[in-house]
Amino acid sequence: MKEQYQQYFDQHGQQDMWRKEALVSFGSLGIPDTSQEDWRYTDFRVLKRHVFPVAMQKKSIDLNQFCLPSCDATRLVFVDGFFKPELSDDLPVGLQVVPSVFQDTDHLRDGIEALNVALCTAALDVVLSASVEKAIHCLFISASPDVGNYTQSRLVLAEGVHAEVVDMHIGMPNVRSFVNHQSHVKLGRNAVLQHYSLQYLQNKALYRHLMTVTQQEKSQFFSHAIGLGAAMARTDIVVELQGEEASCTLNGLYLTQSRQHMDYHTTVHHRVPNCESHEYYKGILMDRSRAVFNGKVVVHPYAQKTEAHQQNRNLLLSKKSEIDTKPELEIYADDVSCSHGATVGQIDDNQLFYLRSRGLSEEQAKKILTFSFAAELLNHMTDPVLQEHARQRLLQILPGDELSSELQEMS
Amino acid sequence: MSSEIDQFVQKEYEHGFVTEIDTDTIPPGLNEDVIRVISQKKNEPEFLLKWRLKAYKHWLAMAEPDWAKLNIEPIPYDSISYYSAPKSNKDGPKSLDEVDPKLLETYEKLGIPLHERAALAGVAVDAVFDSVSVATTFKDKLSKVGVVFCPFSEAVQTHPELIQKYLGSVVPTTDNFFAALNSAVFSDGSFVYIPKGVRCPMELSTYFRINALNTGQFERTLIIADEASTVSYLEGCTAPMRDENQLHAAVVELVALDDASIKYSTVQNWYPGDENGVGGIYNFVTKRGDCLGDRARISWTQVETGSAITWKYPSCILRGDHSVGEFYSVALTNNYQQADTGTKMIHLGKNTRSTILSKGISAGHASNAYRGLVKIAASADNARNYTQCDSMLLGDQCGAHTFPYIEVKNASATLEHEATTSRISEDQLFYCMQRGLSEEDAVSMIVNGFCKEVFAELPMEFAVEAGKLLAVSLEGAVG
Repeated sequence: MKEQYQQYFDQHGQQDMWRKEALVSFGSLGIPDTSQEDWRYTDFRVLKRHVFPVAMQKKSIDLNQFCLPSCDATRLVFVDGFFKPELSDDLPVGLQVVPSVFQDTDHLRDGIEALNVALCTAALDVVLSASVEKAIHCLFISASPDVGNYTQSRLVLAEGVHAEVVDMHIGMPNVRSFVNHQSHVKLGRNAVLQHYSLQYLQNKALYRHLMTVTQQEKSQFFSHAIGLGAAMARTDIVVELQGEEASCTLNGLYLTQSRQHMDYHTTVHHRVPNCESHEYYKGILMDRSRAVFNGKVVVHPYAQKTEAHQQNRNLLLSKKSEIDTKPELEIYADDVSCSHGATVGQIDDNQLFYLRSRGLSEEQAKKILTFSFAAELLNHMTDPVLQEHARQRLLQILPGDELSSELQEMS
Repeated sequence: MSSEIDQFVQKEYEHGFVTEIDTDTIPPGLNEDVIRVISQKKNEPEFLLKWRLKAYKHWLAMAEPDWAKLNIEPIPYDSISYYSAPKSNKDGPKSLDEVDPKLLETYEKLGIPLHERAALAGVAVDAVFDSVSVATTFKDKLSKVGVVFCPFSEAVQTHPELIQKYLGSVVPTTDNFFAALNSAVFSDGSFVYIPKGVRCPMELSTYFRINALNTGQFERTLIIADEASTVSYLEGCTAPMRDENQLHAAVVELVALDDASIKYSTVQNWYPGDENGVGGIYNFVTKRGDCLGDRARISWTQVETGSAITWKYPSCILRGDHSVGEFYSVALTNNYQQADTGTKMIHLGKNTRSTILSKGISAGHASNAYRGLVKIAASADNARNYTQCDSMLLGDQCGAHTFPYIEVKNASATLEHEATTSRISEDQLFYCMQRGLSEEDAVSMIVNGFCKEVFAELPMEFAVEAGKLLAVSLEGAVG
């Protein structure tokens, strides 16, 4: 495997030193397997069998074929891992696209991350010293079969800066590709970031997103993760609360169908006193799909007055679906208020009966109940356009006829 | 405040003393010959020796587990003596009068005079001193209803067919490192068989103690509850003071057939090491119950306050339809104690239910982790689980961790998991103190309240002991 990437790398890749080092690390780390605790439920062995090189041909794309949210935002388009200036808006001050922003080869977690560092083709570098009015909307399109999309983004917000950044991953139908994306966020004092990670890939894609966040004093980080697509998807979010009174909110919604596999791993490190973290993930599982949630909160020594709360709720709609959830707490300070909860259940018969008795078909009733289960999280999205867009996507996926607008309203 | 903590920290282990008696000990080290000697000394049938050797072979290929949140000093398996029996006349004591008076004295010191306790509390005690059972009481009364309650080595002679059928059926020899080791070298333990339809007329109880220097204790307990029978089993322990770590790797297997019910309660108060974390018992125990039959019920209750390191996950396999598994636990760690404990509930049968209630209290420099698994197999329609694990931190140097694994493969399952971590709030303390309680009493009361739901599950005699134990262990440890 490593040889194949090496071969590709020698012929086509950029030859920076750190990339070479990362490739060596990839050789030693390898693709994670289920014997590793962090990967026990997610088997990416397909990456051991198939090589996903960087796209060689530049594909032209018509954006109109996708149903995109019509946001008033700065749109940046990446196709097969390459930046497409002709499809993108002009880059405002503070934004640039570079070949790579992440060059740390000493602390690579796994082979997938190493591969990203070695092969990254385009990286969005955002360094904001003042708030920007428009949201930054990054569209990553996976268009060609059997290629890897190795992209990165770095978001650095100086003191007091407010911003909204959206990562949306979409793709062409029936294209088996590998999306390997990293984002690294640094928030200065009082900075506020609304971050959307919308994974709407097509049914054959493989997806890995690794996100790290460091927060200084009084900064606020809001993450909205929605996962509806891909054959296999894994998201890691690692938040470091390094300044007092910083807060982070991680919200997530995943819906899986057919044989999809979706995995969310989040870790929040409370390193200093007086920080807050809130996490709320909800999942809907259908058919033979499988979802994994692992939420970890670590309260380090002396991080007193920490408040950390976590919830994971799952709705199983099919007998054959599987959920593996593990909310973890690791606490080394005493004056803290921490909690976590996890539930797994199915549609409540009483609720179903209530709706049926009011004349709805079973299908409609189930759809309404399922949708309203998800809607709670959609309502946390602060961007109304993205919220509506996600709502429509969700309604399309859920089985059953289209709901009339009144019924939509109801749920 | 800090002076109170100091006082508490300096508190000597109450049950620390050594009884000097001659023991019949095999030289340290482990190989096939040692296993043959153990087996020979116990006059075991061929199948058991073969079983031990198979386990030993497997153990050799295994690695010590390192996934638990524990910091374990390397264990010198070669310098442990794997067998130690109190020196006894060949045929063993026939009554209490024949028991070595030194032994009886030990029990006396521990506050549980065997005969008195047995008579007063109506408890049949199968006392295990080091590795061989020396006295068994109330046998007649039990045998009248057909209950078999005897040392494991005796059961091997009298009921080999039951041993052969059930030994290793719940915890196979290959299960884990310590279970494999135990299977190879176990010296003795308790055996219980409750016949069909019998409700055991008294609480069964065993006291395990570790006494001889340098001997690991490898107890093996097997409890079989035949159809529609009921039994409540108590296990409690204290151990003399020691400077080096002592390994204790026990295996407990419970088998519940149709409509049977087993309640297994533990109060564990082994020597936890001194205030600097020196010494103390390593308690690596594999406990598992198999609800083999429909409507079977297995309930684990544990109060863990001792041991330097606890590695223990009493589990239930809910195989029969409508079977029920329960786990109630209080784990208290102080000074440099470490505990990684929890349970596994494996739902296989339809309409199975499980409840997990875990309370962890951590003080000093201790580390206390709950690690649990709730697994709903595809076959387990309408399974139900409720899990609650709460942690309380006393002091800012300790740690409390929760690692709950939830795996669901059946859509009709309903699971709830809740965990909280907190400390005693100033408000609670203030409220109690302004009503005239000392700070220490207030803390003790609040902690007892915190654990109340678990204590309620303990049999009467244990509930009293557990409450006392907790109060003693917490003296001064106010954060």
